[in-house]
Amino acid sequence: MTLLKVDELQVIVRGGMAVDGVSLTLGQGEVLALMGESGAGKSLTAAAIVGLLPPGSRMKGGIIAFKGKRIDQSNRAGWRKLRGKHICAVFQDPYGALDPLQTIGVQLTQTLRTHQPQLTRALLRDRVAEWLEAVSLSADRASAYPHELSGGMRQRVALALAMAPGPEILIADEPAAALDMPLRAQLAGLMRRLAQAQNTSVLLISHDIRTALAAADRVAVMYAGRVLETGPAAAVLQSPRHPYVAGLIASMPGLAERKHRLPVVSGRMPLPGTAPRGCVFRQSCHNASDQCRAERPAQPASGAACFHPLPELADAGIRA
Amino acid sequence: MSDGPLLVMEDISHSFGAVRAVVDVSLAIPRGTTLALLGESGCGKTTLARIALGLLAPDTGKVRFDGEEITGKRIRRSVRRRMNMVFQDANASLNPRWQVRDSIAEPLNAFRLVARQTDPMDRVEELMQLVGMAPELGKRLPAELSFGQIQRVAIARALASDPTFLVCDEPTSALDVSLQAHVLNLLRGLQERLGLTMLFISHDVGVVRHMADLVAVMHRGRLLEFGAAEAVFTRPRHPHTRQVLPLIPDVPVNAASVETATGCCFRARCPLATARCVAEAPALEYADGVAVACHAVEEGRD
Repeated sequence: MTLLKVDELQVIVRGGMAVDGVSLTLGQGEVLALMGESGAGKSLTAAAIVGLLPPGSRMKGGIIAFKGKRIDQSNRAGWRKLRGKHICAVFQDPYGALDPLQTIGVQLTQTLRTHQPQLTRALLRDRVAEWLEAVSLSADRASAYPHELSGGMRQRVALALAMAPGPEILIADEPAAALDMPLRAQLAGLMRRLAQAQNTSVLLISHDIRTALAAADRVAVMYAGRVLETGPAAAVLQSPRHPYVAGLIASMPGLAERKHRLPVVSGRMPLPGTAPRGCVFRQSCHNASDQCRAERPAQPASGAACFHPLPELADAGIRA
Repeated sequence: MSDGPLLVMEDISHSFGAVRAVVDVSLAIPRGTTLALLGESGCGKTTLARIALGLLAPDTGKVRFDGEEITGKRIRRSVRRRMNMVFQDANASLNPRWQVRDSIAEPLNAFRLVARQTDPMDRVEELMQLVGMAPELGKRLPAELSFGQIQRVAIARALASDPTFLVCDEPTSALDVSLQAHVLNLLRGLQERLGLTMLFISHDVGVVRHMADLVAVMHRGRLLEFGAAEAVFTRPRHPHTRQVLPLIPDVPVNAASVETATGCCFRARCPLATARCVAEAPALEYADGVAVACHAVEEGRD
């Protein structure tokens, strides 16, 4: 069942089109990774979905629907009903989500009580302990303040706070970006397990290819406000069909051999409002044709938005 | 003096209060090679790098740079000029109110490297071209440049005093994959062209694979495995190295916080740990050009 549907979303930032016709679907219990480099429009897409677009930006077109009902025109009260109970979010900086003056146990208790007022004190205490254990922290950490925890622990607490109300959709915006590699992999695995256990759908925003591969069922790769390729995570990341996605993955240093030079994606991503006519990637693409200059390839439900996709490869790209 | 390793660190230990950041580490970096320190956040990589540059005096141990001991001394300007550092957050390392060309020129002035009646900006232009930047961008402020360009400015400034030894502390971990490839290519190219000796710090296994001639794997302040990158990557010996190299997505979490005051620092997470690993810390043992600190490897149980 499709829980969330984004159709032809457009977001304007200071007059420039920063998200230009993005369509996404998120099924029940599914993990979708929205990928792309800084400035591609992935965080704006996520912000539009939770009704938290930053000042200076606004939705210009498109539809966002939750369980078949349009939510993008909700008022404040409408959004408040959706957020927390139905849609929760974790952001890159866990400090922003945690109150520095309260222990993490108190914060978890408050969150649980808001959404489940019927719980008794004893039951609340048990639930807090359960949540701490669910994110691999011992129950006696409930008395710790945020500053007493490491960055990885704080991010796990933020994840517990977001998941505790039992949301149907979790939006995770670069939750692991400030963490090192082993911790990133750990958080991705944890998020996937929690989502499966609660049947929560996750929209994971990340520029980290390994995290996406470890955590996501499907991926959508953005560039200059457009989705250039979407499909099952393993298919897209291990055998990309869009020249941009293929170039991005080839530029990751691998472990098998030491190359003299890493291949690079040439050119710079166009800034909002400066995308060329036709395909947004054509100025950096070696295969661009007249058709690419004249028309913009449509975003397919699955596959590459490209007039000249690369052949499918049996064994390319990266492995987890 | 001219053939031995450029940097030698002997039995370095350093604590911050109760935290033992670096424990008994010995390393040597041959001239013109890149040694990469691989390890997770908080394993002591950056502390070791600061000690290597003489920015921090270790509790015990010695650092020799080009044959000269620099530990706990005021380093002569002629020696200081030959070592420099590139930081992870390049933006924070530049003065936001200076045109970037002035930032690049600062080491030239500080080390009095500009002869009278010559324009330091000639050398700045040369440096900008070296890192692949158009010299016209020199008049911009950091806020007017992209992340990738700012990292290039930081590299140009680090090279201004014509150093022989460059420390790069996670220079690409704040960058997107596509920018990372550009910066890594630039650093590899500069290392080869200028014959630099580099100490490269990263938690990213792929980045280390691309940059390193030698790899030192650190965990909780200790060196667990050290050797030629090719050997360590094709045949990792230490159980910890074997865990981090394939980047297993699900690492047990709680075990990391188990107290390991005695014995091997990795034993709590090690599948091969025995009573000996609890009682006794393993020393680095050399075999086939790779050094490994592990009882299991020594006993042939790996």
